[in-house]
Amino acid sequence: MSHLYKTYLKTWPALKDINITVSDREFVFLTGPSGAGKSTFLKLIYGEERPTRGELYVFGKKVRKMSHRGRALLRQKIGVVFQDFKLILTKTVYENMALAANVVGLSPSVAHTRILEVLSTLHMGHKIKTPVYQLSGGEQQRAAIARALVTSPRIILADEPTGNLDPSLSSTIMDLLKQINANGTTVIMATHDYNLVDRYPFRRIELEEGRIRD
Amino acid sequence: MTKFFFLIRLGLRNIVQHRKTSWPLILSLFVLISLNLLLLLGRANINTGLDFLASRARLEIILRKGLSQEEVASLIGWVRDNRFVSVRNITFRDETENLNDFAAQDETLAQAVELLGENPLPPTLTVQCSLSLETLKNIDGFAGALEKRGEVLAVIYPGEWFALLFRITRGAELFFLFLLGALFLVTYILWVSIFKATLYPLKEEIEIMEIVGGTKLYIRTPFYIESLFYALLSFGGSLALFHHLFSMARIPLPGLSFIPPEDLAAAGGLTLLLAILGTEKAINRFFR
Repeated sequence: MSHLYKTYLKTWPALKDINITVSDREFVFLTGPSGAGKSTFLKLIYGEERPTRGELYVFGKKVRKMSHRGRALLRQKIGVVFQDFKLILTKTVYENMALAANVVGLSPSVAHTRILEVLSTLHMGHKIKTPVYQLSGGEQQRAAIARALVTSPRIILADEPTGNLDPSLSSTIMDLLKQINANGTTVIMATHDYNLVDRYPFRRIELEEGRIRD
Repeated sequence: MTKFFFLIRLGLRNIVQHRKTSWPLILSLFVLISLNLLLLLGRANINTGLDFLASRARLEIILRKGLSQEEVASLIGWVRDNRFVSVRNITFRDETENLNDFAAQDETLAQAVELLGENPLPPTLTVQCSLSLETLKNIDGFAGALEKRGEVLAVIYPGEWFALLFRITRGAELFFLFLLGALFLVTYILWVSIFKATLYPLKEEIEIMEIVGGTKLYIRTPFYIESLFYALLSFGGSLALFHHLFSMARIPLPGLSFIPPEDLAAAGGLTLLLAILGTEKAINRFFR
């Protein structure tokens, strides 16, 4: 990100003059109070929002002028995990994952193998045919992570993934993300849970009122 | 192909999942398509309606006196095979028949005819046309072409009546077309509004498909499949009902004709196109 600005409704600056580089395979915490611009920061990376000014490069490509298709193709290389999970509640865990796998063009047999593999890693194999609405909060978050992982993304963006979970489940999710990072995936995680951040030795980017705090 | 089959399956699953919310769309489409088909049926029967007036669609052709049988036969052949109007029947009357008919009208006339040294009346040809838009449009050309022929002295026909009827029929046809266009426009607007409402509960699903990297075409495809299914269902249902009503109406009105296949194909194609365009318009609202 180079001199990046994001302003909503022309007058409300969410991010101001952000200059930052995240390396491949890095684990980065994005911290700051609510409204500091953490979610906007992530939205810019996966192309839900476009920068108002400045440049943003993801995998070496400028995001600012990307078409809807360009942004869709970019998202296929990024896994996103949200605080509110964003799973299709009426579909099963398997169907949610199969959708993501199909979007990136995995054949049904490859997708099936990959889904089983990911669910087994996350200890969710027994929930494969369960509709999402029947899962607990922690299980839904693990299903969301599973969906993000099924496409073997190069980056995982996690927006407050532990925000709705109790402390023990938060640790489980953190261990999962740490393991994913250890396997070579870049992880950028937004959180305002400083206790959680303090327990891990990863780089921390502190945002305050849209600026990076030194 | 993997993606395509997956999306077809997703579309079919959507149809099952949305069965409770989709019926207002199907019902309103059914009504609108039925109205469109009614108009098309009316248009298809303009010529049937016109044919009720066919008795007035007659041309009296005054022929030159002293024509040989071959000349008359040649003229009749030309009239029968002409490219202007469709001829229903042709009646030839020679000079004597015309004089007898003239004399038979009145006793005084009969006495006057007896005093005549020679028959002053010419032979005539009466041409009865089938009334159609084509006939109305070409009648003047037909009369003009007849007048240019050497065997013909004059052509008598109600030219103004034909012109008036042509204007009325043409106006009615244009009105039909205008109504058809307006109805299709209403169908489109209604489709967009109802489909938008149907899609609203799926807003999050569309958002999720975007998040996992679905392109616009990818996200739209299952909804296209769904809306094409609704369009086919509404059109098929409406057509079946119309065909049934038409079969019943044909008993008292055997002259009725059904909507021509090319009109049906056009209406069907337009309905499918509206479904695609309406879905695209409705779903575009949910893209970010």
